[in-house]
Amino acid sequence: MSMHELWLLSPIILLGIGILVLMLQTSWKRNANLARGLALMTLLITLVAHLFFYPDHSQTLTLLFEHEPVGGFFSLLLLLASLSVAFLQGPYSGGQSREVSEEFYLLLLLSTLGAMLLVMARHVAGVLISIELMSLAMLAMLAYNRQRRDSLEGAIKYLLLSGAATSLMLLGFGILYAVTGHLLLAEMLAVDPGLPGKAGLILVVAALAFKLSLVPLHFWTPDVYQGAPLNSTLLLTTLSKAAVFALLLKLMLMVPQGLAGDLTLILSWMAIASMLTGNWLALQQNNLKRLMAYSAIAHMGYVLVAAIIAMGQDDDLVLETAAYYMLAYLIASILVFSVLANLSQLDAEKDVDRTDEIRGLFWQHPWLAVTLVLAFLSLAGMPITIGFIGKFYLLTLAVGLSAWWLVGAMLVGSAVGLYYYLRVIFVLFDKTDRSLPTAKSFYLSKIWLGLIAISLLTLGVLPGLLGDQLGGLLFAG
Amino acid sequence: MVALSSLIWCPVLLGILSWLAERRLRGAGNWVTLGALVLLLFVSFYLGAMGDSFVSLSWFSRFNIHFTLFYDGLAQLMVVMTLLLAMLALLVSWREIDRRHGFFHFNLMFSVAGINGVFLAADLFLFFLCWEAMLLPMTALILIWGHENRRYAAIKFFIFTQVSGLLMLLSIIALALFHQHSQGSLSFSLNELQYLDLPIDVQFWLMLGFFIAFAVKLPSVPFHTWLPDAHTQAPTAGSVLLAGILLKTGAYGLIRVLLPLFPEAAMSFAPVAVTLGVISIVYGALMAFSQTDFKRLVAYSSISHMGFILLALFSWQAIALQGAVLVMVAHGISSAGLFCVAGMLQHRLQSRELGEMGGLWASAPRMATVTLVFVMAGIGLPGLANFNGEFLSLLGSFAVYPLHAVAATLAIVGSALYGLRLFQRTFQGPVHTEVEDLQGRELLFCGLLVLALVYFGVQPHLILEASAASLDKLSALASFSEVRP
Repeated sequence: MSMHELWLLSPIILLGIGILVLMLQTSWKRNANLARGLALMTLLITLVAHLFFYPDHSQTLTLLFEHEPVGGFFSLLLLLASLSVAFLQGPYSGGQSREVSEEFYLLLLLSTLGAMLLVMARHVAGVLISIELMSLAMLAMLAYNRQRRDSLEGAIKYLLLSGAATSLMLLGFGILYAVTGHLLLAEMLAVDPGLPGKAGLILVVAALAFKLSLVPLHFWTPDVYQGAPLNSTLLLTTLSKAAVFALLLKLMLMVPQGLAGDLTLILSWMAIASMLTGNWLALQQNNLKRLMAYSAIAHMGYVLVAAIIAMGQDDDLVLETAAYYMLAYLIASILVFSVLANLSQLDAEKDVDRTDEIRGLFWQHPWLAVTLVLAFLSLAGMPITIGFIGKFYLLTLAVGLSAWWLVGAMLVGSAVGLYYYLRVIFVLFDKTDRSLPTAKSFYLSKIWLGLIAISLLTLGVLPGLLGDQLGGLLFAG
Repeated sequence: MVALSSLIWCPVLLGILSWLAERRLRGAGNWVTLGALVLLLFVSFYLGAMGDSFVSLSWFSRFNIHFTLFYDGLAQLMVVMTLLLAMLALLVSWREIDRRHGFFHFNLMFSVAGINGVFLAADLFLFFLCWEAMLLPMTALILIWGHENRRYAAIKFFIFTQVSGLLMLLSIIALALFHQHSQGSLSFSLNELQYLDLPIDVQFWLMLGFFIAFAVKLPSVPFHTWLPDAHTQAPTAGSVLLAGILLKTGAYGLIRVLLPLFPEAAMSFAPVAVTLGVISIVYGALMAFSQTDFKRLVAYSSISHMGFILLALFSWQAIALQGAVLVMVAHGISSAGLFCVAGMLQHRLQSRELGEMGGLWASAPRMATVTLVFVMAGIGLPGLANFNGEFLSLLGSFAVYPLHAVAATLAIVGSALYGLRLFQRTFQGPVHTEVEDLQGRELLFCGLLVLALVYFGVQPHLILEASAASLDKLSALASFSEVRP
């Protein structure tokens, strides 16, 4: 390994060093504020290092990983998600929580490390190690408040099903290895591996679909989302989805012609089913976390359309669409959960997550409410928010390829989605006489959230700011 | 000409200003908003005096999208009308708004910005953006300051327009992709897309996407059901903006986007559209006759009047097109006037039920007089603005669709029935209750509305001259595509 490669790997190395330092600090002297500061600092340094060594061409780093633009962009998204969680944990745990606070940051960093490695993986071993690192760390975070029964229940559910999904993935990769004799992803999928190979690939895709909670592998989502503490749910719905989707996208770009036909068919049905089921079931929800769970299912269905089209279609627009849509989804999700986290306490019996509990929020905390309104409008794909631009990309892609079934499902899904997003928005403007306490002032967290909310509007009104650059960010030039 | 774009961003900024002003000093928002609207009115006249203007800025070059605005006579006419009616909306709710004054002013100005954007946009992406963006403040107006059933009305209004907007978005994207196919690059420019040569069946489907979006806004039967609810539940300012301006964006879209882009498909679709127009005229009149709620009655009468626009536009005769534009302006004034009266009555009586009114002439003769003028204008009394519009529309469409024109003419009798019934139930008959008559501010804007109706009734050529250039282009297009029944 040359010095240059070490430099390229520096974000990962810095993140690792940060984890070690945080671990030492925790064992030396427990201090929640210090831990938060260290975690934030580590993430920021990693971000700076990543931006400094942003990949402009593809380069392998050891056998297991590679340094390339698509992974590079998704790493940015991952850091955005982790930073938001780190910023939010302060107000959410209130500084002095009954639970130990330092380990949360440790797990957060570990999970981020796993996710960043996952989007860089080029080898089966790399994929498995990093996806497990990410999921196991996240599992502990899902059960973080041990006082809550739902939290434990959700975590156990996730543990069992995620374990099953991982073994499916192992089996799938095992079959592919048996057929092709290669462990590098690109070589493994270089030629049509025949029927057994096809079965293996489908197992792998199914495991990824589980993590993305695509229909019909979505059943765990609402329970886990509802049970977990808000901040962990946020991490689950942003970090893990973005990282796994990046991997899926890369795999789809490699799929050989012989397999593309069947896989397109399967994934198209999954996408259509996810869009329709997710939106349909969200209609019934009065619990915002469950609503966000179903909304996540639907949104993963939308963005899967890009992954499907990625197969056998060598078009720049595909990657740009996936990137922009994922960014839009991440920003909106972060904002929704951050508002809820500002209203909730980790120590409380349960989070503020029923629509009744945020009734009339606009009249009491206008800024929080405006943020929430913007986030939901963005999820619904209304113009002047970034969500609309994401939808515009996706529709352009789908219409351009005359994928009418997918377009139809997207339209129906959006129409249904509009209703439940609006319902929540309308509740915010109702009259109420209950007073809603918010977290104590954490100015840094508020500034960070303000920045994200402003970027939601800015990228929605001036899409060219990012859209015109995406090509340069995503393609080896 | 960056000044042109100020018609879009200025209202937003000034809206924020007036929000802040209202926070500092109770009541200041009214004056700031009024000042802002007057300022914008001057800007629009100034720009109009400089002739047609055009501005194009790079916006989203990945998709070759530009921030393109085009300001000609027709656009100016609509922008001026928007600003004037926004002023009316402000004046009529000067004291009526009982909560969140600052936010109300912001919403009012934000919707003005969105509506101006629709009237100015010469790029379909921008057009769509503004089309949807103006929904947000309008929904907020209904939701926050509306009447008893406001949530239902707001959600229905939003979903109807949004979903139909999605179909239009699909058509827009497909058009841009077709342009890429034939010319090599994506384009959303209204100007460039006009020269696109599309197969007739493709044209038809794309046209349908636009048509549904515009027919929902217009509204035409069978896409009208959001309108009675939205109009009835909206606060007076919201009703004035909805009836006066928002419905006209649908008609404007037909004139500016649909007809120029798809002349052949529009021609072959014309019999259906014209029939829908006539059904709207008849249905709206019948439904209006059976209402007992003042605002609901006026709302249904709007459906009826908008039917004339659909009839006129799709018969595509020079004279009918002029009629359509006249109806747009005249209906804007007369329906806004009726909604103002409804608002003032509701403010005084806390009711919109016709059954609880009656004999109001005795206590409020001035209000009765102006209402009579508005009702007569709605009926189409010669000498008031609406008559010219409806007459020209019928005259033009008679040449191509005589049967439809005859049916529409007969329906005017219906409009006399519901109009007179409305007036009778409220102002005549035995004295049921007493109200305060029009005072200062109210008298001022009602008087101005009456003057405008009379003025455009005898001088319709002012409107026709303003819009002549845009309409001539359309008429020229029509002669190219002679697919007549």
